[in-house]
Amino acid sequence: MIKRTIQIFALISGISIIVVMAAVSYSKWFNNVIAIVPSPYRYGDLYFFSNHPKFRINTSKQAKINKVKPQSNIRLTIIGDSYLNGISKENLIAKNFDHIDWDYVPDTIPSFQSGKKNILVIETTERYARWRLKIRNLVGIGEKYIPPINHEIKLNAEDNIQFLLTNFDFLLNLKEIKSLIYLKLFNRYDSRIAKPNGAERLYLNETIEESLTSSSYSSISEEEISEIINNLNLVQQDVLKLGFEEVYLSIIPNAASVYNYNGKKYNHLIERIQQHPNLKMTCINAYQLLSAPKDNVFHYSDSHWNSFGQQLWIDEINKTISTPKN
Amino acid sequence: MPKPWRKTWVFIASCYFYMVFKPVYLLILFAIIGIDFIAGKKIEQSILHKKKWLIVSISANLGILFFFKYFNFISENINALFATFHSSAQLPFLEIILPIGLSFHTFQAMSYTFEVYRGKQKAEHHLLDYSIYVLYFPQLVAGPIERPQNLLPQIKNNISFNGNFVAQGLLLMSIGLFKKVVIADRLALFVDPVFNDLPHANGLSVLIASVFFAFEIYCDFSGYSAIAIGVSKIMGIDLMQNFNSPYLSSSFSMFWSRWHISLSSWFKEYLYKPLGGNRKGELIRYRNIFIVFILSGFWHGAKWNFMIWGALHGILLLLENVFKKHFSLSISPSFKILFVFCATTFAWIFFRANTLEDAALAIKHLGSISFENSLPKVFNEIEFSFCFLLIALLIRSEKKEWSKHIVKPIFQMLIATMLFALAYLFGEFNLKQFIYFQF
Repeated sequence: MIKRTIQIFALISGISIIVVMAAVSYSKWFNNVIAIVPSPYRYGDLYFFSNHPKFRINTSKQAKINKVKPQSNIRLTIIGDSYLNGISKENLIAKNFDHIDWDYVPDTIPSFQSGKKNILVIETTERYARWRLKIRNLVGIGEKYIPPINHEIKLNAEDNIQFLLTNFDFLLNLKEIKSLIYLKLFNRYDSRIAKPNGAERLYLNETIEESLTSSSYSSISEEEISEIINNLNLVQQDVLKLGFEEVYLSIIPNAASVYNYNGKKYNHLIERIQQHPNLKMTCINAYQLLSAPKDNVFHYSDSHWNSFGQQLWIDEINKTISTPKN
Repeated sequence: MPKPWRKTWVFIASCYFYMVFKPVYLLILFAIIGIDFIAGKKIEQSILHKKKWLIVSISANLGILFFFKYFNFISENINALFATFHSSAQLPFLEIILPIGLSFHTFQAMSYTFEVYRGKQKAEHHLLDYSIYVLYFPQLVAGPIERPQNLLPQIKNNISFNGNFVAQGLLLMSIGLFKKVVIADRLALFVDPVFNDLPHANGLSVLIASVFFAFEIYCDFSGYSAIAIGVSKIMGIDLMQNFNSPYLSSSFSMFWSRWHISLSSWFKEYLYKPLGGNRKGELIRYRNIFIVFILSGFWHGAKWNFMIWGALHGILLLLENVFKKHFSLSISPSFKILFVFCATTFAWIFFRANTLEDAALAIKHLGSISFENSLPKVFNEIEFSFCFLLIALLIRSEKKEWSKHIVKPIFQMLIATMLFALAYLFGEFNLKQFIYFQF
């Protein structure tokens, strides 16, 4: 009887483990709900790639949210990327807020609500700006053109056996030992990050590697800047035609643009776009915002800004959209 | 798990395993199972139509194999032929993905009907047992290609849990994993850039890449086989040995009795012997050897490269036979082993090169060992030495057969744990698929 009970218990446990692990592998929803496998990015995406023990830094520390009184007459749409994670109606002055992920550009036409002040913000990380800002039909209308992309970041963690087997905290030490063996003995490290070289923070390799358009240190011709400006002007016309009253551009700088990696020369992409005399779109100058503070505004172990950097940007957005435009 | 549930569980697990790749392809397997199951029974029952049912079964298996694996290759070549004669006729090109491990499970299914036809195996009357025979997940996608006499009785009686089997199985799995992720996938880091960019490679890098590839493919495939045999062992089922230190062979015939044993023996049993084997004189024997090796190359894939690889091995074996018959030289065994290794490594170039032109270019580079252009910068000096150290350790361990001397379960578990840890610490987890999955 006892033997049979143990057998049935073992069988049910075994099946449960297989079912749960399979569900975790195949369903993001399930993973989020039960959170059996911790987020791979809890110590930052760059730590996840590198497992460098020096950079096992908890990235969950939050800045104090500046509470604002929502204005019901403003409808804000932001076309944006992962830098917007954590931004919601609670942070914003606009009571009506819509977020279009870049993954759905140019297939999505931003929705317009009559009787409201409709504002569109085009937010992009600097590393994809040279590609994204050339998309002619960025707001879903206009001549169809998507420029070819020459870089791809691999975030295939969910398929990766190593990830599933070793993503738990108690196994991180093992991953860090492996990382150090590879770095010290074989001089190898994950190709997605730039070699740490004793730097105080980790950098995404595609923001460093000069041959890539995503890099802060690649060269950009004036012709290419003009091409971007011309496209942005056309996109602005499209947005205004949709009924929007205001449209803003905000390029979030790479950490490598703000902090400089190994004394390399920044290409000043953001300034060259924002300060171009022919640009008609108004810019929210994230580069200036994030370069000014003495405190760190980027995570040491993540390619994104931290909540302090994000809060500075949110404050600027709130200020800009609530200020009447002459 | 209660005994009556075990087979059902293995069947469900096998279906799930196969469906992860492309669920709809499970229907192909079910079709093969259905046809061969019926054919097996009919062959056994019938006296007059025995042969007809065998032909039905073999045609169904080969038909599916031909359609998915060879149709486009044949289309492409016939179209090229048409073009040579300025004909506008075109055979269609099918947009299909090759079902994973198709060549393995069709061959396993065929061995069942062959054996029933020969009267060496009773037809299976239990559909679930026969389904597991074809679908059995540890060896479903890359072998070993089992024989019904070995696997079917075990499926019927032996699916069981035993501590000693678990220890043996885990040891085999750890050895297989170590071979795959530490050796094969590390060597591939050097091999791939050389063979994928041959115009910019130099003679030295092609030489090193060829030697590395010989060990990469061995560790990749024998690693998979060890994992498959180990997983099966844990469930109490013994699968046949697939490799036996092939690079320590002192002749080509010995090499083929030690490399991919389950396939070599399949061809020997079901093709070489029915063709007459060595019973009908020397010339017929040589012809048979050559046919077997050409088809063995073709089994690996619908590419001329594989056929040339097979043909090369056929020629080597023929020459060896002729040489043995007419000359008797005393050559040291070490020299023979080295010679066999060099020749098989040369043949691997055709196997690894992406095209025939690439293979020719690789050989051209080898012919003019030059140091122009540097080696691919994937390894520093330490890791380069580490690769050679791993190869040396591999050869040494195979020569001494270390794993066979570890018999106590506690030691098997300890060594397995150590190997798993080392596989993790020094392994490459870059999602590189097992090479033989594509066949």
